[in-house]
Amino acid sequence: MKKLFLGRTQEFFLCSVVFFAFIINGCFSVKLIADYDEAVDKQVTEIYRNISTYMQDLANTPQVSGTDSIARVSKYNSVQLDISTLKLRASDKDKNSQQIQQIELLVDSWNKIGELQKLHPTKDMIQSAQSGFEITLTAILKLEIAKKRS
Amino acid sequence: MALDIQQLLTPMLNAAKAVIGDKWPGIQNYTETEFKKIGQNILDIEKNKLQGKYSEDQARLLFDIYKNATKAVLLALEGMTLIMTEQAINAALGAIRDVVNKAIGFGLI
Repeated sequence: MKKLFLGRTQEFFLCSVVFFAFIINGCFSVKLIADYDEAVDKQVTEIYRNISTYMQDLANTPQVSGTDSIARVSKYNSVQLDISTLKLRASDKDKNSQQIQQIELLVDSWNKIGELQKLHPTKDMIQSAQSGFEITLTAILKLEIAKKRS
Repeated sequence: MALDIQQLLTPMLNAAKAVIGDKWPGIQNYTETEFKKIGQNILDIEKNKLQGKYSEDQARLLFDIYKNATKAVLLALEGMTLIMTEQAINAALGAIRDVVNKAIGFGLI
């Protein structure tokens, strides 16, 4: 069997081709944003549901007292906890700054609802606020679904 | 002074278009729909404030919620633009791979 000996120039050329092939191969999958996370998708949907229920209850019965008041505070805090849990999950990923900022805006808006409740809001105001939450949550969900990259 | 929807919508859409550039057609529908909702709600807050139905504090809190909603939409647009850019870059890199393989004469990559 004839042995194949390569000259220095040919060896250098072959090594360069292989080297650049590996470089190009390594660059083949650029990622500018985090991957889709089904858990985030589900969590956001759940938060949307809980906020909607809370706001509808608030719109129907703006003022409560006694045990109803305690129950309302408990529900408010529960939603707040859900949003914090979502933020924790989002923060655990690289290249996810847009979503983290979106969730921080959701945190702020939920705090605003806490303040608004103390000012005896009308049904109309609550419904207006609810629409604002729908837009924010839709934005978070829209971005998450776009990450499926289909 | 009472605002009208176009006074809000036009600058919002123009600002978004300027940032998003050639990716605009892909996200135009979503952007216009959400900005219209935001614009209409801001007008309602303003109208109710002028009519004395909302106090200063109530209007401010509602306006803050809508400011947050606007930012959330803009962040979604930023993210979606990044995804489209990423797909374009990966498509271009994929094309380079095809050229290299063709030049070499076999599927090196």
